Amino acid sequence: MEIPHVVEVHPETGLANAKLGLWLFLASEVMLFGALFSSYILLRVAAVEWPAGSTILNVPMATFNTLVLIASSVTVVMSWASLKMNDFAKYKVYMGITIACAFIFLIVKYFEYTAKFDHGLSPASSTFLAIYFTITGLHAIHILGGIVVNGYLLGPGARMWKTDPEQFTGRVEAAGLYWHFVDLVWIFLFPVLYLL
Amino acid sequence: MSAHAEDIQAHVRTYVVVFAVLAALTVVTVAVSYLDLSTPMAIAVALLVACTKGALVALFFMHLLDEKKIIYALLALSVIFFAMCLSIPTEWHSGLIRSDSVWSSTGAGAGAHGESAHDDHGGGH
Repeated sequence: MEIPHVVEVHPETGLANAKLGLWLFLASEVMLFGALFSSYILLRVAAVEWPAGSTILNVPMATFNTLVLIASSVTVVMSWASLKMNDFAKYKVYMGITIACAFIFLIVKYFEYTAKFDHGLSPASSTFLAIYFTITGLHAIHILGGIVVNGYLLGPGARMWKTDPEQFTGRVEAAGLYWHFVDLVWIFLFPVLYLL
Repeated sequence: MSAHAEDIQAHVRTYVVVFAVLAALTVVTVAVSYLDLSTPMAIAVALLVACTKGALVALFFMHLLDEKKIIYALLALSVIFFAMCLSIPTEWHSGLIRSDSVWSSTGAGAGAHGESAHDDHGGGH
């Protein structure tokens, strides 16, 4: 049985299924992170004292990571644009850079986390660190998920470019939308946790 | 696909410009955090910069500048529920939905709530 509207748009929505499905998923993700941001605000306004993030966390490392994620957002959209221009070689380069950026982000995050643990700071240490580890941990899991999906699209999944280039381009677009969302969350996490 | 190659070329130029602006705004927001602004002012500036960056990512990288109606409708719903979610702590703080009985184990209100809930439960059977 052929699954309809994988490539051709659905007459009701004007979209292929994957794109609408991915936006629905992102809407649920907005609420997932929204609930945590809401918790952060509640904990903060209810706290007797709240530390400035910069006194506990490493701002230069996080600034670097912000730039890394923004760069990867550009490369993932460039990988999609390369496919649109029928340039598969460029696609592989850009997608490769995107995945490399994701790994760099996680490595920096690993050093940030271990530096905290080495100083005896854990989620149990304070309310601030509890919400910090919860939100950044969930975000890091999202980065891992992006690595898996983008890695698949660069590796075994890339064979689809030969058999069904349009569907493959749609997959890369959907994966790209997810990746931009992960970048978007970090754009808000960074000032909220590190700078305020 | 290749019919749109020139459009895509124009897109690519936009992506590079947006990247430069995003990187610059990141530097700006970090630089501002080193100024000794009052807390409300610091929050306002940081959120303004973050919202600008977020909008750039959503509009240009996620192509929301030119998207189908159903996606906008879906996002409008998300915005409404997200705003409701964030308004809960704000309203709690301003006392609108604060109930001391929730937060203190010795409050008489807590006992009263517990009992009424119990009564309701019993009445149901």
